[in-house]
Amino acid sequence: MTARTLWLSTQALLAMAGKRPWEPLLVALSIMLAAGGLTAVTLINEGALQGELAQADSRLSATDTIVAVTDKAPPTQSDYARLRRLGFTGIIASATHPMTVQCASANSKNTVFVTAVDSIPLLGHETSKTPSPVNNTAATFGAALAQATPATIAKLNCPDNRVTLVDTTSTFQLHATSAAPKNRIVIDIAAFYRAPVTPETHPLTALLLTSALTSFERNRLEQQLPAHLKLQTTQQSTDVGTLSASFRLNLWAMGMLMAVVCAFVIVNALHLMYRARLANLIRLRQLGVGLSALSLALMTEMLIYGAVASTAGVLGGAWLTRELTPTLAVTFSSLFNLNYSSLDPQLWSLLATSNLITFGGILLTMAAPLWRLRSQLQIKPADSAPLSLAAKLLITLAIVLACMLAIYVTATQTQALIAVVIILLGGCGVVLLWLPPLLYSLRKLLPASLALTQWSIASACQLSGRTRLAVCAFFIALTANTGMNVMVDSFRLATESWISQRLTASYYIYSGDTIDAMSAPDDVQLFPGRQQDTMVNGQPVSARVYYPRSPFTDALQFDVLADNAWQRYESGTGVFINQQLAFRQSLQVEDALTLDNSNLNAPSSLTVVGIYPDYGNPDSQLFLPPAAFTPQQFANVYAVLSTQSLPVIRDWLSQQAPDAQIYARDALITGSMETFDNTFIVTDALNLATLLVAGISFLLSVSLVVLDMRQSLSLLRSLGVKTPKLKFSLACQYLLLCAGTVVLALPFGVLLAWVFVNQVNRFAFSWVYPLQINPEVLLGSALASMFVVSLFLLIPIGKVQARLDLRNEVAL
Amino acid sequence: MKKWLAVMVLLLVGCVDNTPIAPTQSLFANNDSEGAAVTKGMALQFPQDHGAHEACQLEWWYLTFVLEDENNTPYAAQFTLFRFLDSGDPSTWSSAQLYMAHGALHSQDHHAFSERFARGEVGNAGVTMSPFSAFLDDWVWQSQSAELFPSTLTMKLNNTASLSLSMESNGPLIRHGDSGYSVKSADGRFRSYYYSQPFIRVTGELTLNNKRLTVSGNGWFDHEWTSELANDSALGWDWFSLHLDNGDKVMAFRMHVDDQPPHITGTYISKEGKSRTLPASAFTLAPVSSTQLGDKTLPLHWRMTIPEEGIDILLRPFKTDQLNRGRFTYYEGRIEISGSHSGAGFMELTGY
Repeated sequence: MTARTLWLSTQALLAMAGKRPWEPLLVALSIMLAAGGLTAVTLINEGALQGELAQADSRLSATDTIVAVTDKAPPTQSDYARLRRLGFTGIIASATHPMTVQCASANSKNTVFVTAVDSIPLLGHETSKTPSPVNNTAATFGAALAQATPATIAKLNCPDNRVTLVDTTSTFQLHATSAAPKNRIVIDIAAFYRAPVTPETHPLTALLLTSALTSFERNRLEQQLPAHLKLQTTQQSTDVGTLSASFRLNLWAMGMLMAVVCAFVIVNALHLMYRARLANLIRLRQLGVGLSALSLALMTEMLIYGAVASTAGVLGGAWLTRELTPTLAVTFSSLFNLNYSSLDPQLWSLLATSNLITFGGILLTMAAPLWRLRSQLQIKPADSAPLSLAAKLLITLAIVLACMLAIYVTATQTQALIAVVIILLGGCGVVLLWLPPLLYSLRKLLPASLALTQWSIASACQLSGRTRLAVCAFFIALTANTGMNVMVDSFRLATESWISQRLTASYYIYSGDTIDAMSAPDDVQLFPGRQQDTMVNGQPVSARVYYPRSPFTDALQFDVLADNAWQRYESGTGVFINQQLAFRQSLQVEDALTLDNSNLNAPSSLTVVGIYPDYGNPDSQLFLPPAAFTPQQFANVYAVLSTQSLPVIRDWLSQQAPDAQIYARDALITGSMETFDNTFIVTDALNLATLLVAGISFLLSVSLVVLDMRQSLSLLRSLGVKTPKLKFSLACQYLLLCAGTVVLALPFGVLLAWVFVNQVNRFAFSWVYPLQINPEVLLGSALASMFVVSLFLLIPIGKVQARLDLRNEVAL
Repeated sequence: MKKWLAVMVLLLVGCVDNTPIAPTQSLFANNDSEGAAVTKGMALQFPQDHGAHEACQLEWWYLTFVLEDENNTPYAAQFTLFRFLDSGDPSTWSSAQLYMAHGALHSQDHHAFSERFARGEVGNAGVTMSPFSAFLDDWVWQSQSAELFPSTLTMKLNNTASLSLSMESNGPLIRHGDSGYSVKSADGRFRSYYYSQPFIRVTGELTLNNKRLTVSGNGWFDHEWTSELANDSALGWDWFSLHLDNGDKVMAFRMHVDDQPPHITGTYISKEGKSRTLPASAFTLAPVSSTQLGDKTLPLHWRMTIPEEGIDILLRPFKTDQLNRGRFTYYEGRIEISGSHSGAGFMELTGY
């Protein structure tokens, strides 16, 4: 094979593309969309991440920690020094303990968790990054700084944001950062350990790993750990904003989905393109062009399309992101209380990455069409025997078993995502197997006298075979759309019902100061919220008060409830825990838990008597009766039971606590649901975009196949079928194909929603909710897809030329 | 027209040459703290004084190496352990000492630099005696006895750069200034205890950019401790250690102090180990040109003359960019010597 042969063959292929541009255009469009979508997702997620990082030192967000095997032998200073001297320089010592703090300029005291970290080694770095210059050692080492979330600082309510550790009398200036662990104050370890606080009285609780470990490093570290320590992966959801993480996960999932759909579209377009070129390719073979040269020329042609389309896609994606930046910044600020950083995209890097992925993707997606083409160019293609019914049933059974197995063995977030992929691909298999027989059965149901309808269905059967990959792309998009819609709808219904039941009081007062309940008007009962951060089995948990009296007892929903649960709860021997705590610590009803009761008037050993749903809460939580708390553990909120009107209570409140805010129950529920809906706006838009891409490509593929049906159409016209009737018949074919796909996609969509709720959500965020299969939602997804198809139907059908000049047809 | 251009060029060149380039930022200033004063007449005792002098504000153990591989390709390396006295409230976690270590490795094409920090008495940083060891995490200078040499140095700067060197001394320790009492300013306000071991023979291996090399060469060790230099007025210094090919060694520096002309002094060390202090009147040390490196203008080319020794040499960096870009960015790197004598050495420029 010579370079000249390759050059001439490629030129010939490009000339063919010029003659029949639809398939190459479809390929280029798909690559462009995939590259653009992935670029936008990358940049948006990077912007979100940078925004978060800019608000705090990300190095405190450890992914792994070294902890004690048992409480009796915590990590020690010598363990820490030994591991660092062995070269594990990403390890940072930390100690987390409940400490009493008071505002530096006031007497009010609070008990909060203080996390002390050895911040000095964090100053180190390697030469690849230039840190901000620090020219004064005193400024670096001697500053008494503390970090906490804005919510924690607000809760402490110190006038000048200065707090003092009561035990050591050390004073700290609080700095707000959303990346700090919730309900904690983070300080430097040397400032924490001041007499009388010592590593003996307040031992280290963990050695944090500030950088990700390679598998080699992990093995080495595990070998070097002393027997009393173990390496464990931190549940990141307890440290970072779940909503933000959820947003990024959704965005990545949608971006990947779009790329997968585009890959299917490309494969389908290639099949069509090679089929249309078969005659010319055979001529090239007859002229002596070898199979390898031809394959290489086809690849070169595709790489040219790929380079152009990928570059255009990256530029388009970067442009789109830049245009969306103001909107995203507002969304992030309002929804997640986080910054969104406007990035200056590294275009060269993006282009290089995108082109590399595109080339790799092209080589992969070309494999099947090219293989088929090579076999067609070598021997006369013979129709393979169709699968028997038994074989189809067997394959379907295997697919179902594979899906069940994938769901059954899932134990991590990654495995849950793999289960999603298996379900989608399994669904594609089912569509390929059963869509043609489904349509064929329909044809058999109709009387033979309806000739045009019979033809229409038979044609749809034929279409389904020749556009099966486009059908798969449409199926994936539709299944994902249905799954997302069912999931979001279930989540919405669960949240609405949960909030409506949980917010049972007439009003809620938010106040930084306590209010004298005795001064309240008649028929106004105040129930102060109480809250205390504590530990359960060595892990942080937020303890909250829950009043065991009507109407609160009726308002608390449970997933599981023990016998005599309320009596045991009220007596102080039982405890209610949220799903998050139950999942994280594998706790079930009637299990015992060990509570750090140093700041609570409760036994250290309690029995779980109920597990309640707690949607959207990233933290582990438990409920205790009011007797477990002191008035100082006020959570800045009151539930108000009253039949008085809002103005009456507001008047009284303005005298008691002028700064307090009061909300009626209905207003709180409405506000919460608005926030909920806003959270899903972006992902809804991407979901719809994916459906549109799949729909358009499906339509284009079908239309291209129809171009090859011109002889049949001409024949029908010559038999006297009028053009409008022919167009109607074609529209029916498209909609029939679409409807067949919808029928198969809906059950898979529901299954996908179940996996989203019970597996992805469970392992990513540690809570689940009941799946609600609402026929309206399913119908909505089905109609939306039909609508997308119908919307674009008009274009190709409008252009159908029933008359054609047979002299222009290429002889095969 | 040509005349006008020539005048402009002269003016521009004149501007560059006549504008003194001097440090403006104090590197280790900590004016609020107090530490033990450096006093004249205190005799340095070895091996005791190899250890830490924790009452002083500031101290460093400084190893620099000029190395060649089997093809005589030049390399350079640096290991420095700094100690600072932190005057903050006492902690039950650590001592009042803070340690910072700098490691650097140079070839003509690569520069790996890394810095680390640690607190004293935690167990992962410090200087121990019997045997002598200076370490921070897994960067370890380890001797076999209370003496500094023979000893080894192991450092991993990053995943692609590391070194493992064996060091032996073949000459005496050199006390600078007045028996180790080293004056840094004309008024004597700035001073330190300062001694060196300039006769170090080094062999070992280094890995740079994932390439493993066998190297050998000369090393230089400085140990200095002071409280007086931890002051805003001590703006920086230009420091040189030279290994002349005839076996002689030279240490020289210019100290920059607020509103004072640079204080110049040095030590001339014969190959037999005899040393004499060089007062400013006995030698010259001046930059011959300056170079822009990022936002810094640095005097990278120097001329040194020591008439009594017949020395008139030019000092030039073996590559331009040898800035250690850390929390405290400074220039530290290998220099080549040409002129009346040849050789190699190290140059440090701080405060620019």
